[in-house]
Amino acid sequence: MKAFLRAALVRPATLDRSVWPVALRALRALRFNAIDVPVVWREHDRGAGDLDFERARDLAAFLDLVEAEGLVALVRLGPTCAEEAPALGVPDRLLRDPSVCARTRRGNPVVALDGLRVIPVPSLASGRWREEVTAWVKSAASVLAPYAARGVVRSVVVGPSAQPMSRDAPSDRDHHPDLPAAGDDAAVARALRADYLRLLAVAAESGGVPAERVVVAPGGNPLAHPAALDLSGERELFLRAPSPRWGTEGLWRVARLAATLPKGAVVEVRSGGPAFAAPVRATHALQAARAVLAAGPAAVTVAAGCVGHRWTGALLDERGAPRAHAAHWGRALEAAESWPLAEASRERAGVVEVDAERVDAWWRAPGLDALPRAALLGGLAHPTRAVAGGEDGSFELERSLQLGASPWTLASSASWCAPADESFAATLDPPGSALLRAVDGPDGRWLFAVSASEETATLRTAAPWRDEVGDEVVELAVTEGAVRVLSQEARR
Amino acid sequence: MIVHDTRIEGFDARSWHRLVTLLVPGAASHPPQAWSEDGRARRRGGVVVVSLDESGDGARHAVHTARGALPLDAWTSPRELDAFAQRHDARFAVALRPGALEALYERVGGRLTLDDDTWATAWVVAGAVRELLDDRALYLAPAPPAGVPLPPASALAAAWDRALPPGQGVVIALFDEGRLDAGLVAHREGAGLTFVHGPEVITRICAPLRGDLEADYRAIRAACDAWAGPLALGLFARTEVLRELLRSDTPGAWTQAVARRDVIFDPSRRGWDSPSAPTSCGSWRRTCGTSRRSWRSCRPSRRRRASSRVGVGGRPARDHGL
Repeated sequence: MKAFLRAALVRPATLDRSVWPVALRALRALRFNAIDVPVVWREHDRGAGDLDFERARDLAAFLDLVEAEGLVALVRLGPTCAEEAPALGVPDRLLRDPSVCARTRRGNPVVALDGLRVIPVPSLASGRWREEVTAWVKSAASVLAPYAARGVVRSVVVGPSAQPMSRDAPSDRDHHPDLPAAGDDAAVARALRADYLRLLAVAAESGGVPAERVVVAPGGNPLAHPAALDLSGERELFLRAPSPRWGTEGLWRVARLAATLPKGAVVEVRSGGPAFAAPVRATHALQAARAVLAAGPAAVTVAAGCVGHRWTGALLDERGAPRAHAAHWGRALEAAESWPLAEASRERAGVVEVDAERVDAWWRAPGLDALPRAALLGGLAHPTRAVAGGEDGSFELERSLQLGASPWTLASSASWCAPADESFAATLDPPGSALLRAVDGPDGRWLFAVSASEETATLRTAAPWRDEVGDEVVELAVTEGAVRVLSQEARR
Repeated sequence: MIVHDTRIEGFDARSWHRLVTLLVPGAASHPPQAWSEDGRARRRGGVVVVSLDESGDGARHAVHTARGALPLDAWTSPRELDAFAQRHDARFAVALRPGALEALYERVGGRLTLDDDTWATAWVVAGAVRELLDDRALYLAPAPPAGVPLPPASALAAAWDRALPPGQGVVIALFDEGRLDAGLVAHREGAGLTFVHGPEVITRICAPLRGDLEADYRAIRAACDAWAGPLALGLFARTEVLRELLRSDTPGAWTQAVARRDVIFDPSRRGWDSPSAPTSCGSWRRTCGTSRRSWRSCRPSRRRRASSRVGVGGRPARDHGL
């Protein structure tokens, strides 16, 4: 079985250097095997072409410590890679430049919320922005290159791994003069976004990072921005699981997507959140993380492990000491080690394709076009079924996603029995692509499954571990707390 | 006021959640299973967002932020938005004509710069919203009072200076079952707060607490005075007592709580510790509610105010034709 990546986010630039080794040891004790390091551009920028990688910003020294602890690193270069960083992590000198900002139809700057103020959003089409961001990624990648060659840096993530709260994504409805054609054309926006992400990936490679270690973060909900899936056949993606407050559907959608993409994906789950986000209880965050882990993606990162400030509810406090709920995360990670990865499913799935016409038609549905697209499906990650409502078109966006030859849907009967205890177990059944979950409810043990095909969508049973899946009786085996659906061969 | 370099530290998920939901109960966390069909139907609160048609009367789509899409059979007109929100147990509702959101972003983006502070931002955004309300491109429920001029940004800044002068600090400590449950200690320098520290820091800088509010508040006050002082305001109470008081519109509830030492102000801004100040909290809430209902009843006869076209914050209002 391929060992999967379990990373915890640490912001070395906002921590005292003396905390670095303490935090790394504490996270390793919690069974993390990797550190997620966002490198915030504005914290290193001292002017055009002048970058500061010294003292608290000494990225190399931090990576040396990571290596000494026997961990690997996943480094985010962004831009916009840390949600709590002010001004999207972009240097003020660029945000003040009118040629960099995305434009509305009437030529005003497109703005996004930044705490209690609004800031202009850079245009992905701006020539100056592209030059500057390419130079940043290349310079930072050159610092990482020796570590990537040694295997200390497992992945370098480029692209917006944190999403600004704005009316739309930067590439949507942008009317920047550098745009080649009509700015509000969906096809142009999609191509622009994909082209921009490819540009960042190539910049990282030119800085010396091997191509297979470059991960692309599309930002926001991948279904809201199908350009992201254009890249899924080329690169590993970085996806963010939605907040648990938006339910299991969004979580399953991202987790299953991550488990089935041909090049794989890193999924970010949350412990706590930035000060201006809606607060999430530690137990709810852990439930969401379990759901994601159960889907079997090879790489999961927890934001945040240890952050100096502007983040509440991280696993460690600002001095690197574990908080009370950190032990629960450690146990969840330990349990997840026995769950199989979704390797078989991914190999079987082949290339994920998106029916762009269906997606565009969904967005043009009466009424939805007036709602804030990025806020509804990017930042808040509503289940699309709940937003659209009704049967007609309710699954439209999900249906647009084709997994191999069969449509990829979520079981309508899937629900969640609060696994408040530690006996929650899950496994992926590769033959049926069914995600099986066992939880102890008030009336006994229940099993639920989410399947890639509607025929096997519903699976429900109680002790003594036998029940029907359609017409077929499935025998279940319990091994060390994990429930597994036996394969056809094993049943014989 | 939290600015971009304010350090927020010392909050675990629980203490932060307790503190935020004390002031904003609608922001309470929900487990993933709460979004199931049954759970969604039971959830209250949230916001209803209605997309209006070109005529401005009909609705094309409605979404509840806690329940998802809503049926439109009960929809009548945007003037009855309040009733529509109440029917769906929403705290408030927003109805938008096509292009209203774009118009809002056009106006905000065109009037603000990167150097504008929080007060200027709030002033400009509120002004832009007011313009859209006057244009009947945007409807809010409960409707904000029409015709009441927005306080200038300088007045907001002055109120902030009065509440917490530069160079001073504030501490709020809330207890539950004899232990520090939630709270913060903050210090202001310049326009914004330099730091906001949570219970972990308060516990660290204090001597061991005894589990007695009357005794512990003195220890916390002394420690926080040295940490973030001089303190301008200290508020000490049990969490549930403060939660009740914040939701009570009974005149005199605060006075009684202060008199019983259920709530302790130490130190307090000049006037905050007088009997009249806490008394006015409940009265103020009741007055606000009455005023809002009165304004709502007056809305049909409301005339468009020419003053909203003058602009806000000394910046000209642009007629974008939207």
